[in-house]
Amino acid sequence: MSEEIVEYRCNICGSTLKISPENIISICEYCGGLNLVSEVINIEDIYIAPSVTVEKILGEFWSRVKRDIDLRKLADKVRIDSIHGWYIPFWISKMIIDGEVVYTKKQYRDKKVEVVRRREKFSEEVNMDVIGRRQVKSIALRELIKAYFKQNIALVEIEKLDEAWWRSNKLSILNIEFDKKESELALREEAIDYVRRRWENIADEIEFFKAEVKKMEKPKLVLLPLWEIVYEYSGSLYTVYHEGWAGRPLIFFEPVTMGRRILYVAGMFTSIILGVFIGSTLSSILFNSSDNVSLIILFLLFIVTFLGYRSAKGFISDVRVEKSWR
Amino acid sequence: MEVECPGCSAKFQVPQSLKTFTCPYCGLVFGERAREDHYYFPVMKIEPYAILLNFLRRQFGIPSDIASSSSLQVRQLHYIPVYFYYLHGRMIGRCDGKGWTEAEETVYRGVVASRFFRNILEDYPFPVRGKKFFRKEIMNMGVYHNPEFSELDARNSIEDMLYRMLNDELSRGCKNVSETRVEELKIDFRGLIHYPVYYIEYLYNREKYSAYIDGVDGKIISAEYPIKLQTKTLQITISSTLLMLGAFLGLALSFMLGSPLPFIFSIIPAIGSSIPLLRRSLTKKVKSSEIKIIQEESRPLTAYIKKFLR
Repeated sequence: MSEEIVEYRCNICGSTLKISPENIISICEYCGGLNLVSEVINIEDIYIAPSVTVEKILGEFWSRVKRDIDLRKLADKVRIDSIHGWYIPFWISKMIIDGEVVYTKKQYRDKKVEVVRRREKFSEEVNMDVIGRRQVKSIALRELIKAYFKQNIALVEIEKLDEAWWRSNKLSILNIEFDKKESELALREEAIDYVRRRWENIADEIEFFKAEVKKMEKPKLVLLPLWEIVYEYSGSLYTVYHEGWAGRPLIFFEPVTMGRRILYVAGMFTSIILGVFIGSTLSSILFNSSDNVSLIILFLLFIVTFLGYRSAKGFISDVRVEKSWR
Repeated sequence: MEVECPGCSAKFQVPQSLKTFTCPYCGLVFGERAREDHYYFPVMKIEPYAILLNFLRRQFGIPSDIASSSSLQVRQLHYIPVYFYYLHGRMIGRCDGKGWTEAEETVYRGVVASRFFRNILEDYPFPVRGKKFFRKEIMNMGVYHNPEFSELDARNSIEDMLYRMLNDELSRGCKNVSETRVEELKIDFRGLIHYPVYYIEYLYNREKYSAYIDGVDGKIISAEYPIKLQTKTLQITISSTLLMLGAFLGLALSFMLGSPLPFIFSIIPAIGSSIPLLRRSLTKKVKSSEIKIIQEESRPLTAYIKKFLR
């Protein structure tokens, strides 16, 4: 916690509270009372997924290192450099989006291409989230919220946590930088964008799209624990992120081993062999050059070229990223 | 307009739109909402050159004596001004024969108020925690950059960006928009942040290399480094073999089958695989960015496929 002191006093005993612009909650050092520092949210709207201990996080880290096909060979030389944890604020809400879309789509029938025009009305239920901080793009935070939705984590109302819990809590609770009203607008806009993107994936071309939020649950602020471990291997540092409610790893940055580089070289050569095979197979098949076939050719060409390009990038790369929670 | 510093009584000119001023003589930050609007990020305690060497050591093909044979030439801390905004806009557009469609955007954006550092920090993933209320001592901690343009200029550029975003979204919702109308437009200034960035210059084998390092968390924004001749040779050998194999196999099968497809399908992946290796081999100073690597490495395959299909 920061040493900066401004005019905030404990609402229970009146002692001076230590706060910084980064914290949403301050625990009184004298009476242990819970104080909400932020003026933009009510305490009853805040929920938390309590974190496991640092020992549990480290246990999960070493278990992952010993299981991983690349890292287990290096485990003896891996050393923990630092470990930190925070509660990250997310605004979440469930919404129903109603709307109308007019779009065109190509259909292939008896080697002929038909452009079909459709008008559809839709009503979709979506779970939406926005990170309660400005300019945050960390991939760890995106993975954290994805894991939360996927794993359906039980939350606790922050008011119900007792003094002993607050005294034992070692993690800072980060403040929000936009309030409930702003978060509501952001959630609505994100939800409509999400539905639009879904239709863009279905349609070839959208002629008209209109959507509105028909129903929205009151947004709640969810505090999710995120841990960052920095480990050292062979004189270089790598970062790992764990979710805090069960302690499992989310994202692992790993060194690129010699075995992995050999695999990348194999990937480059495979892309050519695979390309020749696909090209030859397509040449042998009788076809007339309809749009359908051209698109398949382009798609397959993209796949083999992508395989070669990504293998080459992996070969010269210094770090590999593995998403672990799925 | 002219303002007078309450600390040293110096008078100086500031743009009309500014709410927070930094006295160029004594460094005092004052003005309306000075305390809430002006922040800084404190610098990390770790030596940035040591972080750079850690990063360099793990680069593929870097000389093994990079740490022992390099010498630090320049280590400069820059405090870069960034204006932060909360933006909300709603625009409607008449879609020919189909009624009105709508576009809405709610975003946070930073405008780097230094032309030189703009390229380096534009769209930068600023850290999630750590800012503090501004203190005038910061001005003596390194090269302190005053904003090169006013908050009003930053606001204008961010407003243009918001209009572009809304228009783009409208055109995604309607093929032919005939008339547009702005329904809501909110541009809220959320403070000026001075952000620390280290500039490092080091000497290796009589050649100078430079790097920019995030002063808060030590992320390598960009770093130049040499690679070994053996690595360059290996990369060129692999890429030449790939190109020759692709050309030979492709031509042979195209000739046999009487179709250009085997050649196209082998030479394009060969070129795709060779480009990263050749580009790295033919560059005198290889450049790498931890931020870009993280972004590239974390993008799933499906994202590339979706982009291609669009």
